Amino acid sequence: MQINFRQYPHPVLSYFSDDVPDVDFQTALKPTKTHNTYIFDASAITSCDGLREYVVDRKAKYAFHIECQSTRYRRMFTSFEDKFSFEIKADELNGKVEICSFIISTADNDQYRLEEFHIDYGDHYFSIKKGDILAIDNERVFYADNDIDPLQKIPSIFSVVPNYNDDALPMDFDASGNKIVVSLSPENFERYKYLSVDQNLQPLLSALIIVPSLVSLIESIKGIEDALEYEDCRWYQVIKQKLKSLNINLATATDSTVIIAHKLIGDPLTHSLAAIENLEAED
Amino acid sequence: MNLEYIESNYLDQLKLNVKTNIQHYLEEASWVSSYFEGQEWSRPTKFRFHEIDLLLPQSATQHYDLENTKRLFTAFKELTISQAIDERLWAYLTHKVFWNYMSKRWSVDTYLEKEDPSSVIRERYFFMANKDRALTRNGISRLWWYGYISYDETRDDPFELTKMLLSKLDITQNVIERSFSRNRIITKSILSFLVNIEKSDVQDPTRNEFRELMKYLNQLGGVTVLDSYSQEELEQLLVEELNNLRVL
Repeated sequence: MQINFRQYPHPVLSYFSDDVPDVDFQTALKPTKTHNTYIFDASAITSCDGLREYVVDRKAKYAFHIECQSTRYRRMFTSFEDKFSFEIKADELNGKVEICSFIISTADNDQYRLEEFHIDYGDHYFSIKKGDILAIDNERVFYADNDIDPLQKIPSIFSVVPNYNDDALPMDFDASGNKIVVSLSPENFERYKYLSVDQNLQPLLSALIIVPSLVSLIESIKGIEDALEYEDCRWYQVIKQKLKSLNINLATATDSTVIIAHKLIGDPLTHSLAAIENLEAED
Repeated sequence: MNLEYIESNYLDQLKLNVKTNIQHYLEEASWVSSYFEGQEWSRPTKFRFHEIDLLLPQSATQHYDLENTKRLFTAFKELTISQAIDERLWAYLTHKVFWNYMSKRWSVDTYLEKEDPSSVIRERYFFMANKDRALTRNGISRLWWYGYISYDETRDDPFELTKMLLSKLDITQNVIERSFSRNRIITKSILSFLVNIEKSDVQDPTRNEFRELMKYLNQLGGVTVLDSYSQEELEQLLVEELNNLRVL
């Protein structure tokens, strides 16, 4: 649900307008996941006495609107209490979940007016309908993924496949899905398949195939806009959590993307060189 | 039988090579098993279903989408949402179980003259990038999702709303592709409103009137949270708006 900077036919307490100045409306939503349910603890607070009175008089209520595009889930939870909980079945949320929080009217009202309205509104009364938005807090997003394991190894978000298309390059990658798909030309894929059977060569293959794609992607997700583009991809969430567990903040990191990529997948270069040394020694 | 799904790596491989495999999509019989011969490209799930046949289209306009939705949704009603959004599962069904139906309903040779026929294959046999839209574009998952959003077991005919949803392309598209349709109460309100009008003496909304009604809901949703209305209240709003349109 896109809310930003809408125009309303009546004054709305929001972070983007001064319809109702010098007061605010803030909400918090804490999700906790059990085996098959998300439990949300919601709280809402406003410094606007007029709106609080509306809620006490049951002319308005607090509302949390939850929407998940990938599962086509959309529902609103409401309460007259400033603290309440609600539950959603875990499998109904997957990936990006958009949360909007409001105070909404519970009935039609031709005499809507608050003392706190901007002075420019004078003594004017407004007509509002049931469900009309009276206050809005910032939209927020949370990422629901039953499969994300912070201990998940980075290579598991990669898929290496052969590219049989006429214009196949020796190596390319596509990061638009849940995994980073690295495509190899048929000859390269056959070699990869043959070599990947040998566990000792895994670090070498990671350094050759995984690291270049990872470096390129880390470079991309350093920019905020690209990060938004990838937000809904599972690989992005796995990398984000892994970076967090390594205390790496991409925005402030002084290390190069090459160093960060190596940290993420456990220094494949050193292991690769050691593997080559061993091969040399065996010969 | 147990439902199967395509292993991720093999699914990625099929998707990447659609252009090269385009001739395979013209074949009479499913080709994926021989394409991946000797490899474990699919795995069984614990989900069991009764084998069903989908009706094959008889002409360019006779697609049997309603009957096929009923058959597919009934057989797969117990799917969880996390299964119903899993591309690996639907791609198995399009490429293997319902290959015959797919090759008649979304016959690839009719798209060969188009600029990018492989994009049609990606859309109908796999999931397209837009996750929401992908569910109702895949040739088989669309049938399940049509059932899921409109099935109403409180009615004498639980598929009464499905019948309305699929009665006209304009209704299907306008309902499914608007974001408010993710709320099943809103979707059912619209369909129930249309069913009630059909049963009454009131004239059915014309195509333009229906589009205006959908625009009205969209505009209303800019100020009001539509999800705060009950099904009865939303139906009443639509009745009032249709009356307003007819007075003007």
